[in-house]
Amino acid sequence: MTQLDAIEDAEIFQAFITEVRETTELLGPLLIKLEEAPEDQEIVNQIFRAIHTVKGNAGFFGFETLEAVAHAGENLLSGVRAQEIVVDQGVIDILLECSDAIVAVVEYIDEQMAEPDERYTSLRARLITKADQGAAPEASDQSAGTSGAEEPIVDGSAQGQPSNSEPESESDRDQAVVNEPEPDPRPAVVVPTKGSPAPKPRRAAGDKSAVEPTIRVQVRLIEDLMNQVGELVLARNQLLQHVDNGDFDAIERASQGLDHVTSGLQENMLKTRLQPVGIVFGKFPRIVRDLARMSDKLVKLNITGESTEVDKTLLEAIADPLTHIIRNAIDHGLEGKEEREAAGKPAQGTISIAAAHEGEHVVISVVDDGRGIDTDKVVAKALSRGLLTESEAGRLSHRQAVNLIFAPGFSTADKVTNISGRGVGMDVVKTAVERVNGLIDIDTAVGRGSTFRLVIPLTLAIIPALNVRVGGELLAIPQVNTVEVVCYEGPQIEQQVHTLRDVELIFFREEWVPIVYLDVFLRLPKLRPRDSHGERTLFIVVVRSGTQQLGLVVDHVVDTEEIVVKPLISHLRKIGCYAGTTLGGNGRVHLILDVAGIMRVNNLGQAEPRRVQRLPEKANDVQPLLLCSMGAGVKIAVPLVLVARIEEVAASSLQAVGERLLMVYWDRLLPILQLDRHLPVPAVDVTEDAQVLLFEFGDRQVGFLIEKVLDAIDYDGDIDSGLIASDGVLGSVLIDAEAIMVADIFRVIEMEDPDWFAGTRKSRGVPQKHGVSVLLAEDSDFFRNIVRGYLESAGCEVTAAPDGAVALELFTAGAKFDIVVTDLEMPNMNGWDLCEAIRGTPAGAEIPIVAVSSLNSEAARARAFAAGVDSYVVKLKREQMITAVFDLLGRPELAERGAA
Amino acid sequence: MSGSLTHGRAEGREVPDRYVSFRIGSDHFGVALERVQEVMLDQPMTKVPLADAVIRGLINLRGQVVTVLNMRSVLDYDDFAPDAEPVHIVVTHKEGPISLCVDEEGDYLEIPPSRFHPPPRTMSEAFASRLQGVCELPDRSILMILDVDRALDGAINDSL
Repeated sequence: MTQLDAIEDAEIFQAFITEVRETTELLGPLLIKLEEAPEDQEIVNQIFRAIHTVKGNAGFFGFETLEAVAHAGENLLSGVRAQEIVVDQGVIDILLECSDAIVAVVEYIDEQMAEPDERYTSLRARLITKADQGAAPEASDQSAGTSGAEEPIVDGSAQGQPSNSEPESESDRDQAVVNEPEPDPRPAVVVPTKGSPAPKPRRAAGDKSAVEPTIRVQVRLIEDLMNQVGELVLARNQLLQHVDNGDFDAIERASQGLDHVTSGLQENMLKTRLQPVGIVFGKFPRIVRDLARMSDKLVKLNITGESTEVDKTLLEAIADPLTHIIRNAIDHGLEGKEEREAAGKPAQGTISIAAAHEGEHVVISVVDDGRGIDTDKVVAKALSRGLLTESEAGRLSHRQAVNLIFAPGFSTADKVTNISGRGVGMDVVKTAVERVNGLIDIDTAVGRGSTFRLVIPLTLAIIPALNVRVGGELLAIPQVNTVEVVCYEGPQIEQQVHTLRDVELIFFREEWVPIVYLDVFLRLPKLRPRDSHGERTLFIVVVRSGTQQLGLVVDHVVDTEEIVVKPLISHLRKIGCYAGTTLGGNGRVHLILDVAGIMRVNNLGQAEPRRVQRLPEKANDVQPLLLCSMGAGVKIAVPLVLVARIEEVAASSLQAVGERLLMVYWDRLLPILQLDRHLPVPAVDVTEDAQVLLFEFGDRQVGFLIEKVLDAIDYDGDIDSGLIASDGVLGSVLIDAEAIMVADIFRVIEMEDPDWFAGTRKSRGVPQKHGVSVLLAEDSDFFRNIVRGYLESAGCEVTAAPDGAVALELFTAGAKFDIVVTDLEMPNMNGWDLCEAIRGTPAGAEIPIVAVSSLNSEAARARAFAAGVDSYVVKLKREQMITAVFDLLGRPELAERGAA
Repeated sequence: MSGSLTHGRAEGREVPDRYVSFRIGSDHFGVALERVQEVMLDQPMTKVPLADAVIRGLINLRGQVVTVLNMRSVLDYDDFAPDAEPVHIVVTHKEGPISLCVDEEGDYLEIPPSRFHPPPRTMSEAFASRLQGVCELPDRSILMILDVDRALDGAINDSL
């Protein structure tokens, strides 16, 4: 196969990638349009031309897989064009699959400069079969053979914007006019996109073969820029001349000219980075179609304003949040057909996506006419997750209540059942939007639908900002966050600033706004100004993020300025108070404040869940549990760390063999365990669709049949092992005032198959004992049970202690242990002290010690090794821990058996 | 430490690796030359309020914002004396240029790989993990070759 060694000119390659990308981006939207209008020959022709261009380019570069896939697609399309094949859903489906494959191959080529190993043989075969079904064999051969020579290569209109607007619309015609005709596959002008505030290098630095990403810029814009640079040179010459002459009036005039030219240059330079939002919107018809089909809902999609332009970096940053919002709108926003009709709405739901300029911002809205957000449910959910207290809940405005969905840790139960959505909440969307200095807002009415509004700046690289001075430092506050600057002097201060215990507030525009003294907050020297009479002056910058307002007390307000944003290293971003840096006129670096972050740190807005704030000192006590429904209203919980995957199962894929169930999983049979055989729970109805929790032990897997997953919970209370005492039950937990049984996964598996953990199915009975005696110190009942389970199932004898002090007592009492396994964070005596104490005893100098901890930091590790630990395992990987134990004992062969 | 180690060539056809050395207290360190962007004297710095001790501040290096790491803090030495005039060894890093702020810059050295030794076993693991190795110089002093990425990851990516 011809590879890229032969390509000397990387630019030509980049041009190839750019062109094929743009062409393939057209394919998806066009196919969706074809599905709506199957008779439209013009659309068929456009699709044909697009795929033909891909084939031609791929052939030129010798990318055989790409050429073959495109050829197979083209073959089917030529049948469609000759009206031998009727366009139905099957044809659209397979063509979409073909389009996806082309995109995947192109992405791979761009990354790896070579084709993937995947040859798409099956897809190609199916495309050919599909073509043959519709057309007489000789007809299809003929059309495939002749089409290559006669079809014109893609024309200007097809290379325009990959939006799904009509090709003849105003904007596209404009685009076609301003785009220079292209005699060769190079783009008209290629400008490397450098200096973006959050650069994500696609390839490792230093890779000499790597080609910088490129964007297309209209030639007219480049010409404007050239002219302006000419003016700039002229202005400089004038200025130098006048300076030599010492003519101050002329210098002033020349400076004004320079100012003017620079502004124009800046404005036009930014325009080179602007891209139409249609590039992102173009993907939505496909996503909406697929989701609507999956969830069996009727959805109509309206898109407007796709020619609205926005900075390339921003466009990339908002693509995922927007997709997530649209997904949510279909998943949770729109009702099913019956529910809609019952509510007197048309069966088909509507989602409208619109983009428009508003001053220096772009506003993108996603509107659905679904059920809206029920704030009562949202508040109830937030309460149950501990995101706020009852009394706080009572004081929430409608808007604040709606905004709770952005709180970290808030995810609705149905979202968890949808595995694709697990772990990605609206807080991620909000963070992503705020990272680019944007805002997100929701307007919703129950029964009528919701509107999500994203307000993002036109460009990231340069933002208007308010410069303030605090404690001798110059800091910038993004203008997008500033509401107003207020100033109180002398006696006014006492009248205006109210103190409530340790909080100070001002009454600003009919609202109580808390204030924060930035010098105190940032631990800077206090340099607040006083006038000549010694009276204090208080400058307060009122800032806003989302619906929250905060007053920042500064020493001086300096000026407003357009600042160039430079990124901060992630270590400093983690402080949460800075959005980036900028260079001041004096060449010094200034910090840009992150208003949303400062609010978060001050417990405003979407506060961190309380639980999470307690995490550092209670790291070991949070137990992630997966809450599952077993049917008939019965719930159980299982330790989430043990669950490898959650699979949806159709009743048809389950097979009963004797009393046991098996499921075809990939290429093998997975044993499915029915919990009702061992635990006091109802039997899951296997005639209905259900879910399977997949557990992996070494290379063996077992599934637990459940009705469905309800939620994933970080449980920080105690597991009560007395309340529900039954074999196979670890204990019970209290969730939402309901006692829920926690299943002991190891025990249940052993109850089903006593020699599961013994390694081989041939040996009968309990795990083979090999006399290894373990002293286990672990304060959490939950982890103690799990670790003990791990060790016992590997054949060890375990003596467990609930803290370091008890463990030390056991150790010094004379019992003989072969190895110590200890947690680090424990009450009474922690793991580090336990190690040191053991090392100090005559029997403990040589005994191997394994630390098992959820602390995964260099410092914790270093401290543990310094205290005498021999091996450090991060919670909680069975194999890793077992291997560590047996390696230290010099018996690695036991680990293999234990882990099998 | 004096004189560069050019006699590595005499030991055969081995290609020596090139290092920039620096001093903290009485200890000598080296960093791979290809990672060093430039070496410069101390200059006005913007402090980052609320940042931890390893961050000394930010400086402007011809339009690039350089994060300055206090290597005395990173490598567990006492902090700089108030009147110290440290130097900046600016190295490349995946997140942008990082200055290793140290007592004094040393020589440029060529060291054949065969002269490398692993760090002494008795050295604390946390410290040893930040070294590529150690090597003895002609004047009998010992040079500790810093693994830049590990040393930086330990200092600025550690969540604790």
